[in-house]
Amino acid sequence: MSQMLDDGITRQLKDLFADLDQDVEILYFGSQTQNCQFCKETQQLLEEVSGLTEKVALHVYDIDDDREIAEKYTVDKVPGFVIVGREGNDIVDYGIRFYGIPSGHEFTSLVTGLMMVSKGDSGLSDDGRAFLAGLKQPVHLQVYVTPT
Amino acid sequence: MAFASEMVSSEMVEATEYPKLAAQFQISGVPDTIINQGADRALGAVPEMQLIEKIKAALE
Repeated sequence: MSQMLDDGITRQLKDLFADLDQDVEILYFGSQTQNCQFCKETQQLLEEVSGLTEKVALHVYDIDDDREIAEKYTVDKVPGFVIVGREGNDIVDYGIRFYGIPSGHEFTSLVTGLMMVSKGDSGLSDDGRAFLAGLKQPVHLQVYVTPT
Repeated sequence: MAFASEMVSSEMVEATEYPKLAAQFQISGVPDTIINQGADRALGAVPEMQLIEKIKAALE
């Protein structure tokens, strides 16, 4: 397969990634056996993105062979991936999941997600942070997008 | 928000690859943010405060 990211995007990403702070990791779950329309493309895209900087590492798992890890990170669909922070020997899971090929707006969210986890700043307002601090119940947000 | 709080988890779901889910939540316009399995939703690119109001409504 030819390269997915064009030179312009690659340059922009390298510029952005120069600002990365802590190491982050992408835990990607694909499947050889299940009917997964974009698994190959998603894996290649993630490989190209993580290949642009030492601070982003990619781990490729199979949702069936690596079922225990998939369950640990509650990944139940393919292609699916998790953005986690890496602090020394520890992995920090912030509850950030992506399902489906990250093209279009989802690509922007992937890059924004990597930067956010690496720099340790959610970018939320003070009111927003205060609201979250007062939360007593779990909140699950699913953002549906299309690849335009 | 998921990053800033342990109580919040988030997913981005590419709707055309998961038509059953999209149908379950009757997704027509995107982006559409479904809160707590359909307790409430926020259609479009909602500003932070508006999303918070929706979350509050969903939790009641």
